[in-house]
Amino acid sequence: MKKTLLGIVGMMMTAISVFADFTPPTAEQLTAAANNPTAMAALLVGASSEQAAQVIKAVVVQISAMGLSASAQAASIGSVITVSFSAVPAGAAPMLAANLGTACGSSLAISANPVVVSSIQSSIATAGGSGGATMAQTFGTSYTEAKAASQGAKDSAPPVAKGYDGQQ
Amino acid sequence: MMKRAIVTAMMGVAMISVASAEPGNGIHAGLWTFSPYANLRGTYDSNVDKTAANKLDDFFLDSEAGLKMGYSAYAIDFSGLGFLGNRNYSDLTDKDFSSGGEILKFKQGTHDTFVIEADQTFRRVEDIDLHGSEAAVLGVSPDSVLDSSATSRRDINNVGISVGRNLTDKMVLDVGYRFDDVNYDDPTIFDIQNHIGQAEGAYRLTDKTDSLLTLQGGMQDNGVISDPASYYIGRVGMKTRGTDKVMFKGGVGVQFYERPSADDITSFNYDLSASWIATDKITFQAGGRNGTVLSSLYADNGSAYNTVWAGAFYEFLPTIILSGNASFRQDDYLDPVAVSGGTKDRTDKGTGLGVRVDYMTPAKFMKIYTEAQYANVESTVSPTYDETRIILGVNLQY
Repeated sequence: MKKTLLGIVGMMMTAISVFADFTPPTAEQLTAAANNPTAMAALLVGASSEQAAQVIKAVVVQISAMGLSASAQAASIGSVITVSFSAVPAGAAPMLAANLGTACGSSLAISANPVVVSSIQSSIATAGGSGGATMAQTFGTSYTEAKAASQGAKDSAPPVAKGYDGQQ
Repeated sequence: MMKRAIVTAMMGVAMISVASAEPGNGIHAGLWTFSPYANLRGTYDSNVDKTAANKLDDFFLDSEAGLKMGYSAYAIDFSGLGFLGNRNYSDLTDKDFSSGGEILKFKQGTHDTFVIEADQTFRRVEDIDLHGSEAAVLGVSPDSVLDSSATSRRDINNVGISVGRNLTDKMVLDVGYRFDDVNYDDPTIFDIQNHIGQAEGAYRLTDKTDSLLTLQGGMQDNGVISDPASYYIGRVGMKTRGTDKVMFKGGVGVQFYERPSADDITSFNYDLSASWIATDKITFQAGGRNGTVLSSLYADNGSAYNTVWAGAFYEFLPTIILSGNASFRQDDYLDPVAVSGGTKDRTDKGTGLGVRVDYMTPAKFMKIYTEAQYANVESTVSPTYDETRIILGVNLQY
């Protein structure tokens, strides 16, 4: 009986998680998640992949600003990614990777630091299980496109139609 | 009061210093990031005046210093760029010039609720507009404003705003407006003003693909035409979403172009871009688009342009990237142009080729590159010329 009740409660909790409206996190919640990545799961309840990507981005930005050592920073980012990708349904993970790439490519705080980008990508590869490598590549592809759109393509993607002066 | 201000300023500097990463990673202060940079590039130019005969070659040095800044929070991104630059020729010093400008971009929200993006830029440039690709608004390339990438001295103002949201779980709508104002220093080149409105709807077909419907309308004025020219474009197409190796966005459709003193023109219109990450080390990119723009060289004329490009990157080593690119642009003027002895149909064709090697030095804040560019331009109203540039550059970024 107790087992059945626990099962029903569990199903109700799952239903609430799936259908609950997403509440954007406060600055305090993001700071708390940066210090304790296990808090990420609660922040992603009801989030679309675009909203979840924005939450992860905001927490990673906070971690980047903490002045941690490279290894501590990579570990924190790894925990954030692992908890976050575990919190979303498996089918939603590829789109989360794509939206996270877009969000990170648009953020100078993240794109200015290749080590942070690399930490995110390698963490996705690990957190994504058997599909991790593909999701990590999806992240990288979306990141590159977003960075080129927001910061120009000249450094990483020279092949733009260049000007010529045949009009004199 | 003064003492308090100094203490506050010192605390601020201390906080930034504490939060700073090492050179090359930007300066982080809370949610703000600052990234000062300096670029130096030396160029040998085989044909400075871009002429078919009596070519003059020279060396010049481009120097640029600037600051990138960004602010990131949940569903908010702001970025800014300010830069000042100089070009100094070795012999042809009367061609020396300075440049400068700023670019501001702001984005808030997500498509689940409401997303708004706003962009503004002012750039005073000459020769190639190196920051042009950073200033694209609505996915509309800055060079689509001009009847050529006219490279004489010019002031460029762009402002744009767009809003978007998910209409259903499968449908997304983005609507935007952009204004361009290009003022040439040379009084014989007409200034161009351009208004563009665009609505783009995406409908999810599969997990990886969306169908697209793009509607665009615009007005173009060069200050001397009796009424602005206007155009309307409708395209259907598709784009990939969340893919790992192949990215594509493109559409084909129809353009209607109206000038006050000429017959309306209906023509095929396209805008395509694609990337293929073939392996971990090799990426290919290609794209093309066409359109019609009001001339800044003739009072009441326009140019139908086609431009296509392709490129490839190869990560030879983790610190060395090789890349190559090719581009082609054709401008067909709508009306015959005046030449000595009468009029003539004008078609210009420009072909560009480039190869480049980037070396990421062990010091993360420094990148060195060398590049070779070749351009060939032919026109029905002037002799063909070509130009080669050999470049050696260094980028320093904190």
